[in-house]
Amino acid sequence: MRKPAIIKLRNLTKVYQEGEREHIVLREVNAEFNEGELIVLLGRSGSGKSTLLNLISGIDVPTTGEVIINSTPLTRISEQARTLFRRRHIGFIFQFFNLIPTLTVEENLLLPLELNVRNNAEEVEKALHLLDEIGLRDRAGSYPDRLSGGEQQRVAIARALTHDPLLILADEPTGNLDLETGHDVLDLLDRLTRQAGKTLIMGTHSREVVGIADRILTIRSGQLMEEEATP
Amino acid sequence: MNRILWRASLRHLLTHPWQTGLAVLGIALGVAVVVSINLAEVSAKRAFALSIETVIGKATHQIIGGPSGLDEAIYVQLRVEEGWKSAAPVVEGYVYVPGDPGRTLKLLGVDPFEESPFRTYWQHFGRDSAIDMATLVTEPNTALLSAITAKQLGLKRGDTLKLRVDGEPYAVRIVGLSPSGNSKGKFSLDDVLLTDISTAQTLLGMLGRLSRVDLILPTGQQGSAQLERLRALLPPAPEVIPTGVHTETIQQMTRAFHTNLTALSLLALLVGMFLIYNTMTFLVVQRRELIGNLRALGVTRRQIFKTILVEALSIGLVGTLCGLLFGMLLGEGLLGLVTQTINDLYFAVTVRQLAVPPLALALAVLLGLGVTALAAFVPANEAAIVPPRVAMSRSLFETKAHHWVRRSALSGVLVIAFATATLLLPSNSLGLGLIGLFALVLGATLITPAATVALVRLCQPAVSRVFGLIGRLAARSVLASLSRTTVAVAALMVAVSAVLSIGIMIGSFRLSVAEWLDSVVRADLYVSLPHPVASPPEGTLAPALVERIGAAPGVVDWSTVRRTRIDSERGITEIVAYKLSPHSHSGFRFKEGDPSAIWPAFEDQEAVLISEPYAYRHGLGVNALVRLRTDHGERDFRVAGVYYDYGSDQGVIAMSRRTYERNWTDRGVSGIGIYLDPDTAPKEIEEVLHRIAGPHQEVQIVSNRAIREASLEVFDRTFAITEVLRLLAAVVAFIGVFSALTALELERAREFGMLRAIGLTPRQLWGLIMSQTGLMGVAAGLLALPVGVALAVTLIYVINQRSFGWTMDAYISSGSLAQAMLLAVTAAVLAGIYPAFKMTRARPADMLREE
Repeated sequence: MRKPAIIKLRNLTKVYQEGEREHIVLREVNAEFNEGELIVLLGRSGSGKSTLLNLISGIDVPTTGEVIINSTPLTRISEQARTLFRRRHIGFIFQFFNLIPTLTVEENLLLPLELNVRNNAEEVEKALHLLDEIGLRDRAGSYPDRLSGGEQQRVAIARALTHDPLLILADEPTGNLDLETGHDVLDLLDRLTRQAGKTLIMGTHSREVVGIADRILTIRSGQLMEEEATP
Repeated sequence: MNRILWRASLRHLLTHPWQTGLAVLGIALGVAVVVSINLAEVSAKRAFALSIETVIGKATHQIIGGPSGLDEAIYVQLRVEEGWKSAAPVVEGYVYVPGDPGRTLKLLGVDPFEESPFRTYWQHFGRDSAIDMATLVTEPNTALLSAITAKQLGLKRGDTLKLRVDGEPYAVRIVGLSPSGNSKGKFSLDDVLLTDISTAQTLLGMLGRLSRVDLILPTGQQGSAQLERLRALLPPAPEVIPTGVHTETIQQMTRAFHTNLTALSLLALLVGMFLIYNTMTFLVVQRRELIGNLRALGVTRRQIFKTILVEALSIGLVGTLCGLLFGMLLGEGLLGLVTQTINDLYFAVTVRQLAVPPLALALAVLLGLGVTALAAFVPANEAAIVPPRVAMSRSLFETKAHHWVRRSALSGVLVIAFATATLLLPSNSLGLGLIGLFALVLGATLITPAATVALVRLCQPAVSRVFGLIGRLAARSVLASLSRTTVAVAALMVAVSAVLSIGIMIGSFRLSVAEWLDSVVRADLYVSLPHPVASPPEGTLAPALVERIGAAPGVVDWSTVRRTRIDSERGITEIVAYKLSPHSHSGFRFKEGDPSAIWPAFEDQEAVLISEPYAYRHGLGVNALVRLRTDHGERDFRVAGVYYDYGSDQGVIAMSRRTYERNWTDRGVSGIGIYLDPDTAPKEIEEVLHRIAGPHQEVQIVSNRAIREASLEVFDRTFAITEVLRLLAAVVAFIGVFSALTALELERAREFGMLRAIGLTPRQLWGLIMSQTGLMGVAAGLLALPVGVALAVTLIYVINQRSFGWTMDAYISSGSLAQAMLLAVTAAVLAGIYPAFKMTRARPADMLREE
């Protein structure tokens, strides 16, 4: 049985003002995503994938339209409430890894737990177990820029899962990695999110990743179109 | 330099307007402080030189007498009996203008027929129809005044100018308005009242006497022969001295004052230098990846070095030019303070306008650019020599910074050892003292990174416990970005320690002066001619008045003082002759000598006391001999004791009235200190004394409390300029810290964006930024305390002593330390407000896009 939709996008439009000109990035986007689904957002660079992910996460606000996650209307609540929602329910993976350079691998991993004041021994142990899962236990004390790109992205994946979020958003997670490392990272992402039963929305320009997707959505000219997922 | 590299560099500066602007502002302020002080000093010196040129003119030598001047018969003998040409009599002194309180005019009495060869301004008078020279010579009580001074006093030709001389009223008729100066600035007659000899003698109570006789002697052997002949003709008391000696002595008086001001302004520039260093370091660090890429593309080290240096010099040039303009404006303001201090402490000088010599401006440009190049050298060199791989990796860069911290600390210890050795050297050299002081600042700066690391590590557990994750992140980010944070901490530390040390120095000085005043101002009432209460008494009280005041009801005892100056070839010596009441003895605190032996020697054996600055400047102590020119020729006086005195930094020689009268013919009294019967009310006695004085002279009667208060007021006024410089150093430092912290925080926009994305609230982000800057402020404050105290001790025991000859105890209050701490933390926290505001207002999506 199909699980109920936990993410609803209603008539989302995002317009950027560029001097006198308006640049419409997303136009009347409507979509629903279910719990545990792995969704791939396909699109060329500049098509609006990152913008859509930013709107879903609440780190940006739409010009018009609504984002509802788990019955919470993100676009109607305050910035503070959005932040707290994001802190609790969303995990992020970025193209450029975006680990905190002044924190070690372990500290980066535990950061979401600390923000959620859930850094008790049990949760910390679970989080550290993720380090084993990504094979970087021995690098726990290293600073991010002593790690390779692939290693950094593995830490970012683990960090996105540490606090057991509802939704994971990944923006071009392999965009900065070589093909082989990219595959490894994708496998890890696929395995860990499915293992945890999380919803994953991944923005990418590469068709190579569609193999792991439950649903494929393409953004073109600001519109979102669904493609048939191929096994 | 490669045009594309230059274009890239320029665009980077333009796209970081805040940083570029603050760097320009920092340099501008640093240069402005130096320029303004320099211009104010040059103007004061030039005005002084001009007034000397006006009154001395082309005279090569002067015949001078004792405190009561020269007998005019000497001039008559020279001119008439010996046929001596090129000699001009001069009577000079100061007169007060009661209509314009506080205004003093220099009275210059000359013989118009002898003047032309001596003073250049005289040549302009003959052609000027506005001057009635015949009346000036033939009519008594007539005078010339400069057109500008007359206008300021609301006078025109033919008007009467009311004057007060030695408390007695006089009036002179203005028979001509002279030009203030000529276009070449060779003379300045502003605030000069020009009369003939007899009018000046009448006004100054010098009938039959002259202040000096000016001479023009040829150079070479002929001149020496004439000098020999002249000395043979003169009686033993008058002395012939070259005019340069006199000028040099007066200029010498202010030398330490000027040196100290210059040192203070250089301190402001030093803080400005940190700012430039900060900015350039940030501009380099921000582009480490770009520099790495450029190096990888084949750009040479030399090209990188040149690009960074040219970039810095461009900022330096703009900042320097702005600084010149601002400095000229600031100089106008400081001119008043500098002149006021010179007038309060040394001699009267009138400065009407700021002189702007091109050489001073050129030097300021060189200084601004030189300091910029020096400050930019390290970051430019760092950018050039760092391997591309390291340049592109932040952690490798920071690891290098950690290594550098150790090396820097070691160098700091060595520099401090050098500074200590320099300061402990038994020397009187002010220059060496200043080198030691600046080395101390440099050493402390080099140790700052290591000390910051240690302090933050020490604070980390407590900060983490109190502020949790935010505190830990803040402490960690200070340590993880040492290449930037320690420079900001060092700049703030230097500024706060400078502010603290100057504060301690002024506070200690003030306390010492207040204690000294308490002990020295012991009489109940002081009688003198009207003069500024805080200055030593001037003029001469009528002898009959002194007798009557001593006999007044309620007066149980009194002391008298006569202050006078003796010119000689060795310079100007200030003499104070006391007729002391036994009550007064305890007012003297001796640095050297046994008080039980001092007073008998002082009263009965013609021994003298010398003040501490006099002893320091002349290297004298107890039992040394001081040679003075008396009215009966030169003689030696034995020093019985060295006493503390903060009244004159040139030092004075004190002797008993009896000794004075035995050696000089002057019988004048400058002031009387009166001890009252404890049962009488000082106010009533004051009125009685005024009634007694009424028919004789207008006198000023003030209480000991009024003297103490007025003296401390003058003290505060004297240090007003130091306070201004202290404030400017703090402003430059604040801009430096603001610039550094703003750049540091804005650079982390992406990191903050990520933290916001994963759930850090704006309030938490605000807390993070403020904690980080606050922590840096705490580190800077904690480090500034010992450094500030060390600098204060150096200022008090080395710089002050070598500049002015005064010793004092260092007084360090917990309040001043707390203030310094508060200043450091407040400056750092304030500097964090803008980036915190900007970061918390920005959308995380935008922050993540920024690089």
